[in-house]
Amino acid sequence: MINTLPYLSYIPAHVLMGVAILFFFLGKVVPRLNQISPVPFFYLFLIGAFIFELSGSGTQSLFFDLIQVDSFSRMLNQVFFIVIAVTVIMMQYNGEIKQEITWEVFGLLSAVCLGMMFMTTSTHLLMAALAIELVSIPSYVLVALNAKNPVSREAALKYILFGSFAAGIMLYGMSLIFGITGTLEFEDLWSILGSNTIYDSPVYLMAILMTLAGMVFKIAAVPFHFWCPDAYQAAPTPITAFLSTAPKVAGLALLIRFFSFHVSLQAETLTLILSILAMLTMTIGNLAALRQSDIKRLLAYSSISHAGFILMGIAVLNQDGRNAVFFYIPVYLLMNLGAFMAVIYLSSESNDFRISSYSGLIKRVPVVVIGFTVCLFSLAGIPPFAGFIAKFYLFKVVIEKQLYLLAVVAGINTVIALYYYVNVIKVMIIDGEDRSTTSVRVAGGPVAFVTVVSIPIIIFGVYWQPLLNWVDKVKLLM
Amino acid sequence: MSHILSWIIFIPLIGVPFLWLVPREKAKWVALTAVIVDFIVALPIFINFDKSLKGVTTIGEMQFVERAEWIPSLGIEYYLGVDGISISMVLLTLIIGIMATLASWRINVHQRGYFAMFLLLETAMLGVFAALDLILFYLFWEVMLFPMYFLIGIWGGPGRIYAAIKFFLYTLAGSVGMLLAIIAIWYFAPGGERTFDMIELLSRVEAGQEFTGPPIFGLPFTKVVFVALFIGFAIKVPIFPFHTWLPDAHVEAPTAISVILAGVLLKMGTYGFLRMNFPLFPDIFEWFRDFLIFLAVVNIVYGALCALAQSDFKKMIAYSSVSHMGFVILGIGAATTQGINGAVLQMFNHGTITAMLFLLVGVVYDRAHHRQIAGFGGLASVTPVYAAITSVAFMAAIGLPGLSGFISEFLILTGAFKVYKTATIISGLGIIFGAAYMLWAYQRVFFGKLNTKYKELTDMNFVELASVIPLLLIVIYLGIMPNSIISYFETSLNYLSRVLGG
Repeated sequence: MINTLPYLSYIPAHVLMGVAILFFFLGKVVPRLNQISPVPFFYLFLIGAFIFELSGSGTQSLFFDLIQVDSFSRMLNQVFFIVIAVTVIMMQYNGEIKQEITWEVFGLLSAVCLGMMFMTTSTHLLMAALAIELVSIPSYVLVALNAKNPVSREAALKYILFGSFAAGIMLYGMSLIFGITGTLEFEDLWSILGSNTIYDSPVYLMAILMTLAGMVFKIAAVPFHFWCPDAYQAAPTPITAFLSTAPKVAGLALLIRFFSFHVSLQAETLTLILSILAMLTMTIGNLAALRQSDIKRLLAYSSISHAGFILMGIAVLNQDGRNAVFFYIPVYLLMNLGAFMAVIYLSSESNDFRISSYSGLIKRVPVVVIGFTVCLFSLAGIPPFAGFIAKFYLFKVVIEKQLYLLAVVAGINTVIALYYYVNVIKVMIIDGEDRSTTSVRVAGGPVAFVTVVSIPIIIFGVYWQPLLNWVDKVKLLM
Repeated sequence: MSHILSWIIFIPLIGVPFLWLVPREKAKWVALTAVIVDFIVALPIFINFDKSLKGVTTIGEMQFVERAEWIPSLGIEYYLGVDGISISMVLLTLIIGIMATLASWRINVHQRGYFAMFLLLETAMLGVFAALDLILFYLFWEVMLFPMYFLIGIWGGPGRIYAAIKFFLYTLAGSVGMLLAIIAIWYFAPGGERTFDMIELLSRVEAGQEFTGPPIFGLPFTKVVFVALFIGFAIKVPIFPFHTWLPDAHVEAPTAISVILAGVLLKMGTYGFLRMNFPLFPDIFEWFRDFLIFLAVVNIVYGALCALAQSDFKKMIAYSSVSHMGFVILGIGAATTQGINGAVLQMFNHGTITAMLFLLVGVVYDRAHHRQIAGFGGLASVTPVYAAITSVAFMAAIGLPGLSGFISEFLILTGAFKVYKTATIISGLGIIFGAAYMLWAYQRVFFGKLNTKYKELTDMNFVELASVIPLLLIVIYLGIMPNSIISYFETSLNYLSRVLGG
């Protein structure tokens, strides 16, 4: 007899699953339903899920130990709900997809959210693979949502191909792991892989690297980053903002949980693999970003390089490193969402995402441009903005672990990154006359959002104790 | 415990919101009020400063100390205090701040933005000189970057964008290495217990405790950290070969910003050497000294030769800065009491003299809208006051006895001669070249046949005089009574000289 009651205890997941199915179903079968805005209903469910997540406590293993609900997953899931809420706000102000905001879209968003929740909770590779797919498949559709943009379908197809490819590699790696160890449960598989006979053998490395592929695909790290700029550019901007933040955090959460079970014998090799990954990701992301003339592509490459930076925190494989990542996450979300909101605002009417089209905008919309500037400086890691503190913690853990090469490469990358962020600032603020002919629509929401976001970026830049307290709560208990 | 240092640091920043409460054209008055109030508020620290306390590496001898917990989990503190080295730099910053505000009088676009950035920069500079916590120091150090970027980039000359980004990238490259070094110093702190408290670290080093770090890339830990810090500061000084951002930045920056740049910013590099880089690693300093002296000589001679070759007035002064900062390095490298006292005096004097030179270039640029030395001629007959003041400033820069520049260069050369004879003799060449480019430039601008284009040139106005005269008086006064400033820092520096084994 299996007692089914505990399975119901993961209520937030059930809520979102319910929303996903319900909205999708209703949107398809009820005619003219789209005359009613789904937004209030969606928010209602989202707030409900948020409250359930907030009120939860303790650690529970559910679904035959496939997932584990703990403070780590709860804190990160709350972050996902907030990001999704912000994404919905962005959709309201976005000119590209006015017609496409249907009930189905919200069904898709809920499905992605459910997938991300499983990514943060899964303690089993099979569950992890399923969760990744649950995030990926609706994301493909969301990328193609922009019917006006002819390249969006192409980008979505590219995304699908890469996604399937990465998933395939991951499954192959998992099958190797299962073949070696007979289990896919994180804790067991690491302890068996850690035995002296398998440790550091080629098949061990192959299995780990291949399994890594799926997770790395989600955070768009090198070499699984090629889909990212195209998908980001083609997708409606709110979806880009969403994809560059929430699934990335989910991927990081999965990586953190996966690697936190390693045994000390494996640490050195894993650190090496992850630091190489980190160095490649940040360098390639940054060098590519230098050449971009499209703001969305620039932010895409910037998010790749940030993934590289965050990987530094995972590469050190200790609690301090994880804390540095947890510190980075909210800061990254603030500055990235702020930047995308600014982009939505500045490009909403013209639909022109060339950086040069922002020339001289400081004269017309000073508040948004200043807010955007704060976000960009923060992304570049310049004090007194929060992005610097987040980077400081990553540097700290890397130096503590004496990974000096990684620290130096990251340092050089910080300098390279400054160039392209400042270039955007230069165009908006320094470059001469206002050249764009289209008017920027005056909308209160994005202005307020960009302003509101830039305030904590500055506050956390000089007093970041509140964030440390948050990090303490996320802490993954072993 | 008084909060006077906090007030001094943050009064300029407090002025920022007021810029939006007045009409745009009146913003400069707000800025001027802020820097003057700041100066007046700061007066007590110069009066009450106890000149017998040495500070430097001694716990409890820093003055006007303020300490508060900031981020307890890492032991980061809000920790301010001054000793002889920093108080002279605070004084310099306050004086230059007022003069630079006056030099900004003709800024006529985006005044609020300009003065907001300007006051933020002032706060950051004062903060650097008063911070005693490594992280606090680094934050102030970095906060200078983006106001400077905008000040050069928006209000600068035609090539401003290139100059601004070059400044930004160079400085950031240096400071990232510095950040890594700071983290390493914290983590592998001597004595084992981690701290960002500079004075605590310095006193531990002095007590003979050693950094616990294992080798980095196969090189000794202390050497690598020393060099990383050194490069961070050397870019700011700037020391050859990291100096190339300076002429670009100077040429493109508006006058007031050139004044700040030459007057204060360059001093931060040498201040960093004295505050932590060298005393934290006295052994490595010993190892590095010969090379440092070599760099100093290159700076002096190469800077002077470059200045000689310039056709742009401002660029010439920029290169003369490179040369004069070389003397500071020479004095520090010699580490004798005279040398090191001379170096800090030179920091102060170079700050005032070069600020004056840039102000004077600004005067002629505002009228003629170009700075080609060869494009003028005979200006002495149309602008006699300007010519007279410029002549004193040039003499001070050359190091004419009776003016402040002479005292500091003399002290440095005497101090250095004891330890590095050849280097000192070669550096003497720098002074000769210095006289050559200064006098030659003066001759081409003020003497000879009057360029008829400039027949109608007006002489210096009240605001311009107000910004130059105080500096002129300081230069003359310190030329006669150098001890009135030396007395502030000699206790500290004599002690530092012993720490560095000079």
